[in-house]
Amino acid sequence: MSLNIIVLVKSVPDPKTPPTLKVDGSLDLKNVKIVVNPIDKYAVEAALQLKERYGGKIIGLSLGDHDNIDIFREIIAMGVDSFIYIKDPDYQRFDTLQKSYVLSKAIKKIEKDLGRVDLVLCGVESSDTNMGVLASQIGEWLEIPSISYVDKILEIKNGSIIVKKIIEDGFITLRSRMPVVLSIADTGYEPRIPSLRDTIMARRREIPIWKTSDLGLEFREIVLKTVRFKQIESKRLGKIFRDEDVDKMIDRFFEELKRDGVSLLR
Amino acid sequence: MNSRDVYVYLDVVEGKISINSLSLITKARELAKILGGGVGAIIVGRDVKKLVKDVEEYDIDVIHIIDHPKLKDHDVISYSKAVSEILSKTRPEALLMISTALGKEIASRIAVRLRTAVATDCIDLYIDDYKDPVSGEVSEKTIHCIRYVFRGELSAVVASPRQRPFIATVRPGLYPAPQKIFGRKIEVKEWSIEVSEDDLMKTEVLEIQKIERKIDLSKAKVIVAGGRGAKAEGFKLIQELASLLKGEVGATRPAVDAGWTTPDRMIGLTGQTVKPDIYIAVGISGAPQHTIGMRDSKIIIAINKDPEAPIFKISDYGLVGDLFVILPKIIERLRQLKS
Amino acid sequence: MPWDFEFTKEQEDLRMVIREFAEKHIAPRIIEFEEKRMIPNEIIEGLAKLDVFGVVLPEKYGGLGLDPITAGVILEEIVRADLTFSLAVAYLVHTSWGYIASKYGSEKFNEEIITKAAKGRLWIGIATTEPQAGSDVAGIKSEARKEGSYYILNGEKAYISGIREAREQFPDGGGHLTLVYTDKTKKHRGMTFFYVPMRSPGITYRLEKEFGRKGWSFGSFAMENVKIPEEYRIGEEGRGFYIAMEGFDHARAYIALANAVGTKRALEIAAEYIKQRTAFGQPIAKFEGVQFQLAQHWAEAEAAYNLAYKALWALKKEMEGKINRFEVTKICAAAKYFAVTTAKKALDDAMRWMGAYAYTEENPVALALKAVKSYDWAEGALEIMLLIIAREVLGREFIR
Repeated sequence: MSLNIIVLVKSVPDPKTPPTLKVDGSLDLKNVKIVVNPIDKYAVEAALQLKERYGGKIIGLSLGDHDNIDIFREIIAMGVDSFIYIKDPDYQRFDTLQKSYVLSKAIKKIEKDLGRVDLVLCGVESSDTNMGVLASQIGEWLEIPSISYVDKILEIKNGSIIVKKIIEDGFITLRSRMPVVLSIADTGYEPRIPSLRDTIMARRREIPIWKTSDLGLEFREIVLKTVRFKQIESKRLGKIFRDEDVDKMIDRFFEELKRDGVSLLR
Repeated sequence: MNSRDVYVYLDVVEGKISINSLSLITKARELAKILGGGVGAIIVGRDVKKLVKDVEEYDIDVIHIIDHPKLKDHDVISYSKAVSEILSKTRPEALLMISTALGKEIASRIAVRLRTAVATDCIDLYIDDYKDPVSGEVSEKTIHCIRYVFRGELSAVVASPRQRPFIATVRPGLYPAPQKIFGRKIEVKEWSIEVSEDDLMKTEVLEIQKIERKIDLSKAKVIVAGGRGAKAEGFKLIQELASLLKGEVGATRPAVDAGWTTPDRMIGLTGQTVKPDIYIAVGISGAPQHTIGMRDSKIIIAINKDPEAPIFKISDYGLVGDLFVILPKIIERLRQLKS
Repeated sequence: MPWDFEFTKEQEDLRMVIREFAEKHIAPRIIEFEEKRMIPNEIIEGLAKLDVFGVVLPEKYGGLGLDPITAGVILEEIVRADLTFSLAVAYLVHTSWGYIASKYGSEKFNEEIITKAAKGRLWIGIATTEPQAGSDVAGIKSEARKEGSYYILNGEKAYISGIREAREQFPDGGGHLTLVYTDKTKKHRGMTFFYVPMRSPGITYRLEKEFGRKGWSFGSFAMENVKIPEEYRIGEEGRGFYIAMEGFDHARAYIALANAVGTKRALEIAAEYIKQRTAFGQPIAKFEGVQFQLAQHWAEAEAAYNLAYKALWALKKEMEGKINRFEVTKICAAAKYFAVTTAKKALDDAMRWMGAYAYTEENPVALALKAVKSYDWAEGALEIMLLIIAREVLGREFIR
């Protein structure tokens, strides 16, 4: 058996330093550092483990509007065979429907070159929009099954895949026909850190850039509009106590609670 | 049919309508009133006709139902086809669903089928006029939805001013149970669909492992929760403090994964969402996956060794230091206060 | 001199790889290094898998063939995560002396030993000091005599890092570049360098309980008729002293960087602490007395950091044959001297601002202070650094 796997990777503002807002309530993206969506690395790891077990080929695919393709080199260094970046200057306006549409068209195009795509993997959600709809929407565009919140891929046999999915009150084991789209959670896999050598080699690799206009898209109106953003302000008291004399610290803590009229006991 | 109706998708869980999804009726009515429309409910599944009587006393105007013997739980494709069928014929203003793993999957697929907008994990919805920033065109009385983005660092307001219906999945536990209105006649409409054999073959359930949820943390007034830093021994102290305060024990996912407490006490993105009067975070660093489930608590107290831990940023009171030294002293102090 | 303070994209990529590993696997466990007096195998294996032990070793023998500046970038991330300096010692000693061993070692030695060193299967250390001869290298007593295609080594080496690791922890062991006399009458010109595997018959050893950087062993070994094949001779007979001095330049440059980075990191930690900790009703950070000390140490640490990179740059230029040896030795000595003296002062003050809390074995600033104390003498005492600088500035004729 040999699997053709596409892993979707999103570039996002570094979650460690989320963007601030401009006065008009829009995002100030000028100084943000763009990184790979952290949870997507779990999907990459899942793909790599499948390749190690069953053989095959992994293609990374991303959609965005920036020129910083270097961030994808880490994914190449982890071991994906090739990486394709689709660039669209209107990307910031895209809603999930448009993103999943463009990506599904790109998957179709890759499928034409490869002959067959068995699996499409992505992370469960991106750290910027936190939507978590991509896998299902691509599944619907491509008219193939999809399973979200996959903890672990258990087995592939006779054109079917068995996965363990996380649900609210536990886990569910599902068998699905391939091709299938899976969104991978950050629970069942531990993304590998690439070696220094692979990191150096990745820098020398070509990353082809596709334009959305090459994908034969129909015009689609962007339906979901973002009206504004708001910084979540902490209205918290923020009284932090720190003292090497723990008794003294606890004294002050209880004094403050009393002063603020807070009673722990009821 | 009035195009400004607001619909609610009623989840069927183990043969019953989920209470969480019923609470969406309250919100749907509030929105529908402003829009001048009615409230509709959608129930889809196998052998669900009998459930109509369980909901007919609620504040709903019409129930749309698809009852098909071949519909199986977790069959995302058939369910989304079924719901889309109803929506495409009725074209309501919006569909509200509860944000569950399955709910979000169905919502996502419906949005593609109907070429419409979807927003997941909304924390509230309201109605306002929408003005297009480019054309200046105003869409009156448009449903806006608020949701966290950037892992809860920011909130975003989104709207779908032109495309109907707007599919919104809403985080559970936000709204009260709906009013019951006795003696009222609800219109029940039954729809039929073809369930394709091919779709049925696409995915099948092999096994379900349930985690027993014995406790409902969302009702606790006090929660003492432990994280990675608490360790197994720390959880003993946490339990002690929780019972002293007549509260419940909560935990982060890493603490549950480590087996220090049971999964039904997990709080956060993959656990429960809680809003107690007092939340005491012990050895919890404050990763967004956890804080999303507790950040609306009235008072947050954090105990952590690391002064740079993000939990302190959302705390009212923070104690920097070793929990194994601090907790016993707090417990002792509270015992004295009590007696 | 045209000077560019920017790292290359490749260097930044490599930094991120090590940072990710260090944050995930190293930083959470440094207290364990100290308590167990060892670095867990998983961390050594993890770093080996990332190619960290082959950074400067030649590509021909499985290394990455990178330059000392890039090796410095990797060292920075290791130190930032591990202020006990245990891993810094492991990395910088192996990197410096592994490079020297490869440069002067025979083809057979490179094929047999360096290929394993590059994969992190084997660790390379340094052994010059003896119970009666530290910075005064000429005072060593160990010697080697040739017998056929072997040398027979006798003597004792003291205060040596990594004996336990080279005997027991690395899968293929390891050894130390050991300086001995092959001809005592010729003084410096009679010394020769050998790679002595710590698993060789005739080696006995004893470990000390170090004051700091406890994760990497420290002790002495005795050689009793230890038989070393002539292919393990590093450089020509009689060249040992000079090759050792060249290796010390490398080690000193890395030590300088480790000290500067450790100081910067410790100041960050202390600054965060004094912003939160209050005394007399206000955060300690608001006291000007503390602010001035902090600012002064920050300025010195930044200077030390840049001087350390200048030393690494000099080593790179030397490898390219573009700078002379004496210039390199001078800069490396200055970098070590300045970084270590800066670190000791800064860490001492930083500990003081942090009050009683600082006086625990869990405080990284205290761990760092204990570690940098070793560089009063390790790879050449601070006084020797001053002598080297004076010699190069004034001329040899002014040195006794």
